[in-house]
This record gives sequence, structure tokens and C-alpha cells, in this order.
Amino acid sequence: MMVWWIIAGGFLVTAVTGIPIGLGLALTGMAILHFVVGGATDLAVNAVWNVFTDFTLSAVPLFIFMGEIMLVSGVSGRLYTALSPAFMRIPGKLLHTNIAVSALFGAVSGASTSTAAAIGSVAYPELEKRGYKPSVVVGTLAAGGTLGLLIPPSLSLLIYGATQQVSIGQLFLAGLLPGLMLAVMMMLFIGFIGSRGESVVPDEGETVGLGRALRMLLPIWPIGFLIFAVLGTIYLGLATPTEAAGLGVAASIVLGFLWGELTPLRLWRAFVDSVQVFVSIGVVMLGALILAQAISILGLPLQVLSWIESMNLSPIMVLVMVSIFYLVLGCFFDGISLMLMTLPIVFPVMTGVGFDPVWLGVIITILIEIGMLTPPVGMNLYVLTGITGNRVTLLQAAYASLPFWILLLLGVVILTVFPSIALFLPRSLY
Amino acid sequence: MQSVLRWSDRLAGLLAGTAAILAIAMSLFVVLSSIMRYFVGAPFAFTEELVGLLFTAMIFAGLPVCTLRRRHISVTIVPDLMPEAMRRFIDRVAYAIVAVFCVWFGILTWEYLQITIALDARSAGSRLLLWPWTAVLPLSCLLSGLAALLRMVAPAEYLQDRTHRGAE
Amino acid sequence: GGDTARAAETEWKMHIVWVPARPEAQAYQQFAEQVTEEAGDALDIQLFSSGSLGVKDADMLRILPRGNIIQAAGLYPGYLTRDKPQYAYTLPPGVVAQPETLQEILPELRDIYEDTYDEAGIKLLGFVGHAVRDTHIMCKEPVNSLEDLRGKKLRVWEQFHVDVFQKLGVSAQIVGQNDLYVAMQTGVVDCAVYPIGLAVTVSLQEVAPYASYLFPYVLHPLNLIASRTAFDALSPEVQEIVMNAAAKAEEDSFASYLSGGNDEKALETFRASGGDLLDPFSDEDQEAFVTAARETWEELSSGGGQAAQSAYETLSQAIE
Ligand code: NA
Ligand code: NA
Repeated sequence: MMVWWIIAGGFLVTAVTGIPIGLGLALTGMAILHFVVGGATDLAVNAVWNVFTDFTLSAVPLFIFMGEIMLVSGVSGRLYTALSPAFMRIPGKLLHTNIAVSALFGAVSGASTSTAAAIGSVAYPELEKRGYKPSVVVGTLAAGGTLGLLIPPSLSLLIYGATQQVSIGQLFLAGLLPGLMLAVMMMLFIGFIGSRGESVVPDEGETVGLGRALRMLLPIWPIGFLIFAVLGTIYLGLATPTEAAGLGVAASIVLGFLWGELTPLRLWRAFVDSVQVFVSIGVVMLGALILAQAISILGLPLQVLSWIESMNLSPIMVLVMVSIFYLVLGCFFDGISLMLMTLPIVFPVMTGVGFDPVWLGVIITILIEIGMLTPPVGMNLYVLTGITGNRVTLLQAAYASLPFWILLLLGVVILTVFPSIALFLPRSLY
Repeated sequence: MQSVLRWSDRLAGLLAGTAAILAIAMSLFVVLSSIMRYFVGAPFAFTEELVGLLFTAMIFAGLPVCTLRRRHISVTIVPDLMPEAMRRFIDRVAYAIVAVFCVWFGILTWEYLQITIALDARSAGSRLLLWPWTAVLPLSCLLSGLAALLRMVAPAEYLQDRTHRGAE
Repeated sequence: GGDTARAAETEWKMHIVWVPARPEAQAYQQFAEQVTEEAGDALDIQLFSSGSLGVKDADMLRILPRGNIIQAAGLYPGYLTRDKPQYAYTLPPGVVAQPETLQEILPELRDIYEDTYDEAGIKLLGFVGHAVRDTHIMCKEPVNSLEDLRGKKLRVWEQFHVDVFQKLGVSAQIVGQNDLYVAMQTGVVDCAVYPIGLAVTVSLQEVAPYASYLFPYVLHPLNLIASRTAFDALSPEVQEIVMNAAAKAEEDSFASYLSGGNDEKALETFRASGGDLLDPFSDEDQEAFVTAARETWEELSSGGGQAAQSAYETLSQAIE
């Protein structure tokens, strides 16, 4: 199979020469389109143009702008200074906020990458400054981002429901408890690494009583304005999630001038710098799109699935094979396109052997979330690597995300053994 | 050589500023869209399509800067294990490959531009003229290709300004 | 891979965006299967549903003609407006008051589409009827008059309807398919123009349980097209098999469209999950809507260039 040789060769050259990953992926995809598909390289431009000009993608850079503006105006610094005492006694300290805030954010945002961008661009610089180990910060942020897709509303559950004609209301309810369960599992894990006494979290920091710690939160009330701009406007139906990202930028500017130390010059620098951050992420998106187009025009995913289908396996073995399939393909494809491509076969096969359609939606969402954390195409990792300015490299980020990757897989196992964790709410409310 | 490098750096600064202006415009139109939705009951029809086009233009305006200033995301484990001279050589090879991409993708986007002009293509909803936005792509590839060539042949001192390769 | 039972002389890849469960997909599936069976070893058509080939309908005029990547496709011509602006005004939804009219004007529509396809190097094999016949206004609260609709925030799927509803004093906005459920749940919009037949697939009744009929789902019929190069490479016998299968798919899908069978089935699902079908909009309201739609159609066509105008003249005469 020439395709696999081109992919292997492309990845090898990218790793050995250190060319930008996005361009390595793009060249690999263009080579497949040229040599295997028959001179169809123009599909590369089509794929990039169609996705880049789509409105919904713009939430990611907007959240990165918001984070940078909060950073340069000192707003996020005040936020973390106030939050810090409340978390001093808990092993893992402020790392927990990454998961908790991501879960909260996930309750209004439907996407994983936007969640990672929004929380990451605010949290990373502050936690790094405070002495938290950068790669661990990135790992928790990448993992927290995955909650954006599981806790409703969720783009993947919406698309799953719409294409497979499964109740979206039931799917949203089904995602809630597993999302919270995974959030708790992630926080327990953070507590575990925090208590092992390695240099993951900083030692210093005053410990104060709970009452005092809570009183320290009072002066940061203006941040409530920002939270309302992003979360409240979506919740009240005043804005779509993408528009809320724009309102977040506007609110952070207002807050920065009135309450922080924002100046016009700093604001300008914030835009100039964060655009460069986003461009580096956008180049990876570009490459991932071209490679995905090259693989999907060949119809490869459907061929592999037809093969799984033809083996007549037991339900559990079908689940195992489908999981492996998603884990492998998740390395190359963005989650939503992967789901769209595979559901026509995965859905009938899985429901055919007796799995519940609502449960399956949650499982597939978790499986494609794992793909967000696996290189070479793991968008959460790239967004965060970009936000750190390559200070945490892609491989360090992937390595730090590995435990969370395993936690998510463990979540799949738990939900398989106890499907009612997902199905309890939809069954009792519908 | 020195003056070429100095001028290219100025041009990069200009492009970075352009990308930032596009980013600001993008933010403005997204905010405008939600304000219109609230006060007028409906956002402007054109805002979503315009925001998508601004997004695309922003990335491609930033691409040459990213290439010249080495802000790309890359995996450099193998080159980092090499002695300094070897590493510099691999770097030059890498930029030659980047230049190949820029030429190849540049030709493809140039052809895409010509089709867009020939069809007088417009955005599906609010009929925005597309070719001026499409033209950003081949132009960006041209400039990025020049930036890659420059890094390929630039003297070693210039390449010293490497960005971080990991904080740990 | 690809160790299927046999490999035909010629294999076609066919692209559609619909998921396999949808009636549209089943019509195209029927076509592909009939050709594959009747042509024996001469031709296999493999249908890739859900857009799983990764290509968009909007690019089909550019990709299909070459014939070496994808050889056939089924699509909604309204998605070609980027490259063919006049399609925005060819047969906008709402200008026709009776669903039967759509089948009657197929010859006129064929001429219009063939102008585009012949120029691009594409062969129009035939049409496929829509899955649903009736379009409703679906709301969070009971609404079945234009009077009630004024003051509500209405979601529509295309700019044409924004203009039509503006004429009727209703403020409408376009909300994307993926945002609609949440937009309705949180109250970004109160109502949506949506056929019940399609709404149940996206669970819209869960957030907008009240529906009322406003106008028939008459718009561009779905096209079944093939690369001219690929089609010409087939033997005359196989070409005939392809054309016959296309004609059969057209006949069956239009019969199904006009019977309203899918609408009925969806209505059961709609009611079972708590949906409430109100009385239709009054005859006056329905008439006012069609009138506004035709006025908008005429205005837009006269400003849409020569192709749009001649299509308007042909079709507006044909639908009388
Ligand atoms: Na969410
Ligand atoms: Na991945």
C-alpha cells in the first residue's frame, strides 16, 4: 500500500528534520493526493478553504486573544492571586482549577478545542509564573478541554444525534454524569501527583483559614463581569458560543482598562503576539485538514470498518475493535470529521450487537476526545503548545497528557461495565 | 546580506501588524453580530461569512512572519541530539523542504485564485466577492517561500535567535 | 483492503452528504445498487454517504468533471451558489403553492441545470425527490398566524427567507444547523422554519414542540449527476442501464415525495415525543406568504444578472 509508505515517510522526515509539523502533515497529504489519488492536489486547497472560511472555527483565536489581553492587563494575575490561598491545603493546589473551570466552561461551550484555548490562555502563563511544572499544567489543561465536548452542550453529541436520529436531549443528559465522573477522576489524579511531593506544584504560598481565603475572593468581583460576558450570554440565549468568544474579548478589554493595567499599546501588542500564537496553531490545522482529506477521499476508514464488520465478533470484541479503530484514526483526524466519516458503519454495527444508541454516543465522544490528546493530530495539544510558545513541546505535552488519556479510556471501561452512569438521567427524565 | 535581513524583518513586522488588524476586525464583527442580534433581533447577514474570510486572511498574513521568525510548532528531538554544525545543516534542509511546500501550495492556491476569478465566485449567503480574499493565499505562499529561502542561506549568527525548545 | 468478492471492470465512487438512514440517501442507494447489479462485471457504483469522502457539494463542479477521483454524486443545487450565483434565485422555497408543481416543471428545470453541467463537463442523469413535502413553523410556544409570529425571533435557513419574512414584518435570522438546537433551548430564537419530517431527525421537537404548516417544501429538486468523461467511457449498454436506474430512482422518489409518506411517519415520532401539531396557518396567511415570496423572487432575480432573470421568466411562467 503506497499510502502507508507515504505517511510513514512523511512522518519520518518531519521528525528528523524538525520542519513545522503542519507543513509536514500538509506535504504528506499532498503527496498522497498527487501519487495515489491521481493528481488531485487541488483538493488540498478546497479542504483548507472550506474549513477556514467557516464561522465556528473563529472561537478558538478569539479565546486566545481574550487570554492574552487578561494576561497583559494583569487581570488574570489578580484572579489567581485571589484563588491561590483557597487551594493551598489541597494536594495539587491550583491545578484543580484547570479541571473545575474547564468543566464549568464545558457547560456552555460545545467544543473541546475552544475550551482548551479559553482556559489555557488564561491559566498557563499564571501557573507557570507561580512555579507549577509547565508540562503538567499543559497536561491538565488538555485533559480539561476534553470535558468541553462531554458535558452538555456538546457539538459531537449534537452531530451524533442529528445524523443517527437519536434524541439530542437524551444524549445531553447522558453526557452529564460521565463528564462529571471524568472531571472527578482527573482531580483525584491531580491530587495524587500533588501529594507525591515531586516538584510539580510550588511549595511556598501562605496557608490561611477557609474564611480568610473566601474573603480574599471578594475583591475580584469585577471578573464576574467577564464570566457573565462569556458564560451568561450563552446561557441566557443572548449570544451563540462563537459570539460569546467575541464578547469575552470585548469584556476583557473593558475590564483591562477600568480595573487592570491595560494601555492601548499593551492591547496592540497583545493582538500582535497572540495572532502569531494562533497562526502557528492554524498551520497545524491546515496540515491536518489536507492529510485528512487525502485519507478520506480514498475511502480508507470505511474499508477498515467494513472489514471489522465482516468478522462477526462478539459485542465486547466489536467494542474493543471499534475503540482501537478510533484511537488509531484519532491520531490523524479531527474528532468531528472522524465521527461523521465512521458513524454510517459504526452505528449500525454497534447497535446491531445490542449497545444502546444513547450510551454509544457518549462512548464515541470519549473516544474521539482521546484523539484530541494524541499526536500527530491532537488539536488540544497543539493549541496548548502554541499558547506556551513552544516552551512545552508537543511531545512533552503528549507525555503529560498520557495519564489523562488512560483515565478517559478507563472511563470507557467503567461506562461499559456500568452503563447506567450514562443512561440513568435520560431514562428517568424521558 | 545584512540589509536584506534587516528589510525582511521590517516587512515581517508590517505583516504581523496586518494580521493583528485582521484579528481586531474579526473580533469587532463577531461582537457586532451579537449586539445586532440583541438589539435588532437579527445579526447582519454578512458578518459570519466576513468573519470566516478574515480568519483565513489572518492566518495566511501571519504565515510568512511565523516562518521567518521560527514560531512554528515542530518536533526537534532528532536535530537537538546532533552537534551544533550538524544541527545547522539539518535546519537548512528543513527550510528547503518548507520552501518546497510554499512553491507547491503556492501554485495550487494560484490556480484556485484563477478559478475563483473566472467563475466570479461569491460567498453563498451574502454574495461577498471572494477573489481578493483568495489572492491572499498565493501571496502568502510567495512571501513564506522567500522567508524560508532566507533562513536557508542566512549566516549562522542570524540563526542563533532560536526559540525555546522546551522549558524542562 | 478491498478483497471484495469480485472487482468490476469499472468502479465508480459516488458522493452524497446524507446519512444512510435518510430517505434521500436511500433513493441514491437504490440507484447505485440497481446499476451495480444490472451492469454485472461492467460497472460497480460504491456510494459514500455522510460526505465521508471529505468533499463538499460546493466543490462538485470543480472535482467531478475530471472523472478520476469521484465519478458520480447526488446533491442539492442550492449548495452550488458560490460558483453559480443565479441558483440562489432559481426556485426559492415558498414561491410554489402546490408540491405537485415541482414534478410538472422538471423539464424546465432540466434545461436550467444542464446549461451549467454541460459547460462544466457533467452529465445530469436525473432528479431525486425530497424526503419531505410540508414545511412548518416550529416554536417554543403555540404560534400559527403571521400576527403571532411578529415579535418572535425566527430562525430561517437561507437569506431568501430573511427577505421574505421582512416583507411580512417578521424579523428572521439565519442560524446554522449545528447551533439550532441549543439556540432554541437557550432562547436565541423562539421559532424556526423547519419541516417536521426533518425536524424529528435533529430532535427539534424537544425544544420547539409546537408546529404549524405554512408552505410546501418545494425548492431545487435533488440532482443525480456523473462525470461526463466517466459516463462517456461506459459502453452504450451500460450507459442505458445507468439512465434507466436514474429514471427509476426519480420516479420512485417523486412518488414518495408527493405521497407525504415520510411526513406522516415523522409526525408519529413528533407526536410520540410530545410534539403538538396546531392548525395550519390560515389561507390568508399562506397566500400572503406565497405573495411575499414571489415578490421577493422577482426583485432578486431582476437584480441577479441575465441567467437569474431568464430562469425566473421560464419558471414563473411554468408554475402558473
Ligand atoms: Na460542552
Ligand atoms: Na489525535
